[in-house]
Amino acid sequence: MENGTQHDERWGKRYVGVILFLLVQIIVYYWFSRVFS
Amino acid sequence: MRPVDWFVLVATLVSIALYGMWKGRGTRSVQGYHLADRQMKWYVVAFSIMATQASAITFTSTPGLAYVDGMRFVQFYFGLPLAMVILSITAVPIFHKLGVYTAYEYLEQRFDLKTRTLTSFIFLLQRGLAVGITIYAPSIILSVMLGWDMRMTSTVIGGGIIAYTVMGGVKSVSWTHFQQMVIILSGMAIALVVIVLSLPDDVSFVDALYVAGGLRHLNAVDFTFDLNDRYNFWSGLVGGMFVALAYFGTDQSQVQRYLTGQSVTQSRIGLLTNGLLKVPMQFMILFIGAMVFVFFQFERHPIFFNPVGLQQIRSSTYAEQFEELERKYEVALKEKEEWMRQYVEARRAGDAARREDARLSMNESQSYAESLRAEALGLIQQNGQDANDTNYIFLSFVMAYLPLGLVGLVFACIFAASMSSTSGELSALATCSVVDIYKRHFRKEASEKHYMLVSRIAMVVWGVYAIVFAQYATHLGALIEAVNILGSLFYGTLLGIFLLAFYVKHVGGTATFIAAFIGEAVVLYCFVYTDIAWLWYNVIGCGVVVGAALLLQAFLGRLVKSPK
Repeated sequence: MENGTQHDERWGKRYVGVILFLLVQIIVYYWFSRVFS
Repeated sequence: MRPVDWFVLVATLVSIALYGMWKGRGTRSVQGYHLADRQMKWYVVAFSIMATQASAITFTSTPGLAYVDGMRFVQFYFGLPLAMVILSITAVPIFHKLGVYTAYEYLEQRFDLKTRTLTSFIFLLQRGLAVGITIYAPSIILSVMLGWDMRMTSTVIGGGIIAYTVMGGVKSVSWTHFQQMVIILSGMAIALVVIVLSLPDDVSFVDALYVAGGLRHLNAVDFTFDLNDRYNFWSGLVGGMFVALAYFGTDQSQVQRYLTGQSVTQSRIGLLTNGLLKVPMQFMILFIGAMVFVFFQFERHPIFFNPVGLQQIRSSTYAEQFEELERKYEVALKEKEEWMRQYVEARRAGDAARREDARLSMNESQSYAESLRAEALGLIQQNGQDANDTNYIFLSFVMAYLPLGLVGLVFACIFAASMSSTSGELSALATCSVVDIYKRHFRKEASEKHYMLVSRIAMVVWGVYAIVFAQYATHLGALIEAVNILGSLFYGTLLGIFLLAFYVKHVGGTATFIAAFIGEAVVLYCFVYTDIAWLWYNVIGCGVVVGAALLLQAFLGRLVKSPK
């Protein structure tokens, strides 16, 4: 059984993962906008 | 459409209705009917959330938007993943812990009955108006494209939904959402591959990307800050986040989706999966539009894409002027195509100067063609017709160029999307009517059997109302647009109320109730008297409600203390 801190850490990583994925997408889409124009 | 396409379309629609009925069989409790017994896994929750948001218009209008305006609409979704994280941290555990049926039920526990009734009334008003349009908007497009009677289209969509939602309630809705999203995502992915394969032999995929980019149609991200610009990075990130917070956190049609989750973990992962998939999905749909744009640069296409509208203007008093514009448009397109081919050749040869020269000329031709199209749309408007043809661009391509079977599949996707969003809205309207209004105000104590019967009646009533609204909506004309906008004006206020409920513990029900009216008045003022882009209304409405409630609470607190 994981304790409260481990539980919070795991969720924290998931939230950061979602935000990082958004950041990567914005960078890729920006690059996409620039490179082909 | 050919027989094979009809077969694919009919088989898909029948399979959705049958699957929904089968999955919802044996639903006998109120909790089962309205919350699917809280037994849904994260992947059903995630797809159900996505399917409720994705209406038929998403798949007809969005590619058309990319055709006309490029891909910048994708920025509108940048705030959504952030909203999913915030809601996973705040709303999900609270709603689960209290075991509520609706988001508004929580507000009674936190504030008072009048605040719960006000918010559920706002929801019933805005969703009640929207659900009719959710059927009406695709019905009118599909009727034009398939040559069906408008009443028949709305009855097919609405009747199919009523068949399985009345029987199985939210359990049927959630499982059919899962099935519908699988159909929609695979159908759109196949359509994208076929569009790319349909490009002329001498134009490669990379050439197509450069042509689209050269004509400013791959403009996915723009960091310029402008309050009056609808879609840029900042309005998408901040305004889009507030819209998503309001929609997913306060709109019962979405809250109900994650209340069906087996646990806090399943609901949270469902929301986060939506945060991961939504932006790429919108990007893909917009990219389909950009590729259709490139395809039509090398292929003859009409100046106006609504086939019925085109016939009307050609047989009107403006026919001569319109035909003259059509002739000029065709010449402009040929000239543009010539410059595009030179652009592609120069790029391949690595001749930077020639490429830049061709790019400028290509854009000049594009501007000229656009000005001719704008003139044509002006004539159409003068003739009293709807000049917006964005919904017909992608479907015109589908009907004329997609291979056997795939036409039926794309139309099945659009019908499925219409059914998915409508069923999500209908089930939420039924739940809110029964739990927040009937059970709370009219019949507080009754048997499970009685509430089940009332729930089924509510589902049928809302379903029939939606179909009837869709069939008579044509007579509302421009009012439809107004109704659509009206619905989006309440989100900021609702969000403000929920933010106060979650985070500002010392503010009470009366201060919040009055602040809600102040917030709504400010939003309506902005709508009528300013040019502020609508994405910001949610930020303004929410801010005013929170600020006014804090001031009122301080004032009310003094009033209570002063007699002492």
